Amino acid sequence: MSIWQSLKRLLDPSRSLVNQPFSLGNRGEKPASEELGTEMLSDARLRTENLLTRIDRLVEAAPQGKEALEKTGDLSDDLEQNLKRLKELFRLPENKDLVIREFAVATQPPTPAAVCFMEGLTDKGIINDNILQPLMLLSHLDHHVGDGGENGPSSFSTDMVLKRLLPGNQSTPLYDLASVADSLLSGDSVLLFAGSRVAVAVETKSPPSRSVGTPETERVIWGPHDAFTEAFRVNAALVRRRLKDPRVVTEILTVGEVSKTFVGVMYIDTIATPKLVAEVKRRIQAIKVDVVNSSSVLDQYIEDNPNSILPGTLMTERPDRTAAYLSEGHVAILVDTSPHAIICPITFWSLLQTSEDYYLRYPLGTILRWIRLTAIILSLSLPALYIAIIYYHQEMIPTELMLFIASTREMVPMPAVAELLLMDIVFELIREAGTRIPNVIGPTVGLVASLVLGQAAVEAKIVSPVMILVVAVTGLASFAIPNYLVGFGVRIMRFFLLALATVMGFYGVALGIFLLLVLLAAERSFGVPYLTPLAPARGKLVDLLLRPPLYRMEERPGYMHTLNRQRQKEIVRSWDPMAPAPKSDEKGG
Amino acid sequence: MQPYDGHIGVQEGVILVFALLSAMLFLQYPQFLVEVGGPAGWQVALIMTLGAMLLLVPASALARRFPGMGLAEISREAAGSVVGPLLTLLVSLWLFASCVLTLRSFTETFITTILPDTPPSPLMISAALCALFASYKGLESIARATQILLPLIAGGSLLVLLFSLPRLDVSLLYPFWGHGGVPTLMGGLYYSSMAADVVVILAVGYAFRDPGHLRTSGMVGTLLFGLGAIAVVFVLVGIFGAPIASQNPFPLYNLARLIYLGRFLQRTESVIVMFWVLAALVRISVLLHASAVTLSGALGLPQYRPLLFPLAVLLIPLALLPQDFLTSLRIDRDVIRPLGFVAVLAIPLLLWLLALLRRKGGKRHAT
Repeated sequence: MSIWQSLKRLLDPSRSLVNQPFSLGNRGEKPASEELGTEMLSDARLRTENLLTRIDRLVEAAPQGKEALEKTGDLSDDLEQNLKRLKELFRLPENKDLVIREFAVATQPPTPAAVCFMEGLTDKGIINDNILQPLMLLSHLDHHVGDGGENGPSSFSTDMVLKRLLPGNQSTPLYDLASVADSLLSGDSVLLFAGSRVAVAVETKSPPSRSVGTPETERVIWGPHDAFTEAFRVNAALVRRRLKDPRVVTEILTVGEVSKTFVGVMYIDTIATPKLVAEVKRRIQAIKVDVVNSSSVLDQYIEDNPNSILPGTLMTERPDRTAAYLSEGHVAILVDTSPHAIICPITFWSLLQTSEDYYLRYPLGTILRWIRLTAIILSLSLPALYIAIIYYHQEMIPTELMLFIASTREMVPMPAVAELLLMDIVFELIREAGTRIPNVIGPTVGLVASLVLGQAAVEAKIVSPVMILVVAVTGLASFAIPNYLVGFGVRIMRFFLLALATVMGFYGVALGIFLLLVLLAAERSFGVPYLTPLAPARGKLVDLLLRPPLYRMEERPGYMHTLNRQRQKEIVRSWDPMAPAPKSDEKGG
Repeated sequence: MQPYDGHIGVQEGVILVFALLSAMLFLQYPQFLVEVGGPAGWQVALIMTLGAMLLLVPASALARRFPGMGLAEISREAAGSVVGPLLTLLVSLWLFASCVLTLRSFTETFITTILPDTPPSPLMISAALCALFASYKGLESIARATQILLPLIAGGSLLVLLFSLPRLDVSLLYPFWGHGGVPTLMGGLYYSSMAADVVVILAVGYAFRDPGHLRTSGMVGTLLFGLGAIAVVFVLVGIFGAPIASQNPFPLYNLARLIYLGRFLQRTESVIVMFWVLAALVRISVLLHASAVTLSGALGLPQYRPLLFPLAVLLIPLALLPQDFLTSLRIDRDVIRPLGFVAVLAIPLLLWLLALLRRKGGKRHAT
């Protein structure tokens, strides 16, 4: 278009004004829900037809017994009819994801058949080598297949295909269209044959997934470095690799009307209490939504109190941690497409622990726990205490320090709390920017930003150096909290305490601490009090603030009410001459 | 019966009773004990402890006769549907009065010590809101929060006493028998009503799985409180002397003010105030909860929660009613404490006798 034409178009009002701009909801038009009704009419018709067919067949099969009833479905023995219904269900030809390859099984006479699969979810190598090749090329080598040989004429049947022709490792007969659709969507290939009311699903799943990587938020120095991926089966295998026991059970549930997400419920049958397993399954099965595409989303549907500031379950990306929790009687939930396992139930204290606590020798593990506890206390209360002291309780500070703080604050025009909030906002900005900036330059930008901004703010006399120290220590402490979601919750609580400290000093801080503690004390995670084993006290408190030696951790936590309380023998280091004699020996002696 | 309000085990029960009662040691009560006993104030505390434990006997017997029931249900069962609720109402009113005076006393002490420019109403409103929230969350939550707070409160107070020991002058504890045996004995018995608030455990008796747990909680909690009272009075008299100690309404605060551990750690009383606030909040929450539970029981309401907000709103103007701090102290010492005998001793005893006469409870209710 020339410049003149463009100009002319601009000057011509009839052309420059759009008569009807696009909008999703225009006045006078039928609401989208009504459109949906007409769109879904064909689905409803298809389902009704299937249902009626099935009822007719059930009536026919009833006299033949239970087995016949189980094999009754709604598939037709007409291949064309089956394909037509499948195409209708999957919105072909608009939908290009479903591939239908029609061919003939090399029997005498040839049997028309079709293999259907979803593009991208399947392994085409398996389809070519293990489905099409045997059926199209090799099936005539079997002389018993429909050749009317010595044993007389034998008819083609899917049973024969399953037993003799298909070398696939998992092949399942399907009897209805809904199962065919489910199998296709999960990545299986489905075979339909002329003259047969039975389809065959062959395992060809190969969804796109990344390989096992390293943990992003739960890094350790000592210990394994593998982390969950988005592939549910890989995740289950990573856990099972650590628990080679037939009693480890993975039950698979499907959640989401549209997403049909696989949700694996993992537990050890002889340890986890059946009541807990049943409750987890009950909550998952109660979810009636269209899409659940992440463990974080599922978590919000099943946790006890979604309004809580702190998480009610533990999300971990570490298979070793998941295996350890399973061995203590917890239940792990693995969600397909999510690289996190949900561990339930949990306590507040377990959120402050890491795998590394147990990989290091016990004195070091204990020190790490104390450091983390100090970190959470500092992160929560340091700004509030500083403001309370500066505003209300100056007498607590030694005189020289008080004079120094007063002199540095003299030039700062803002009240201390405004200074603190400003620096906190800047700190949060740096933190948020750090997570968005590409990994290579992220830490550098964060470091430069914090150094330059801090220095500049002090020189510009916007904030005092002591305030920078308070904010920096608080920020550092918040990074030492091992759980990201707890860190988030603590940040919110910190602002709450800060507000109370600003208004009422230590009195306000005490009010805040009391409220937060009552709030946490009222929480539960799948029936387990949040602050147990401290409040209420359940069993020994050794594995809480201290990390006891592994050889002394003989029992599983009491609050889990496990089927088998004993974790290990009473005396594990039996070779050690310093080890005490077992109690049973003492009794015997 | 109240709907599920959680369960209280022995440990939680002991901690709850101890926290409920020991919060009084931050207030004027040690001063009262010294006033009566002089240098032998600690003996008054000792007799007070023994008396307080005796006070629990009727309540324990009643709980054993009606396991799994709270005061309201027991009253209705033992004394009938007319007299029973009236007796429960009396206990409820006493508990609420105790709550009101606790709020007033703590507010006054905070204003006097750390927040001199703050009017009382913001402190009262904020404390009442906290108590309302805690009571709403239930006794189980209060008990669990207390379980975590108590080591802080008790540990902090114990450190104050320990760090004060270098200033202790044993000669101030003489004459050994103080003002004489009779005033000490009578004073001790009179102030055993300090522990009358322990009737709270009978009010929420339904939360105890076993009546034995209730008895143990009450007895052990009261005993620990008594030991705390003896220690506080002993150190207070040993440092300030009986004449000054008997005029000191904030004993632990004043002890904390004396602490000097080198140049860096001085004037730690503000930290003590934090523990003090926490103890006060636990006490006010428990009393408010028990008042609401007994009142709802007396009125035959199925839930206590709807009463919490009105009671919390009432709490503030009633706490502001006494003309000054001294008047509130006087009301507490001369009216509320003696009436505590009615709440913790007379009413449970009457109910027990009525149950015996009317052949209510006992084996029929035994678990």
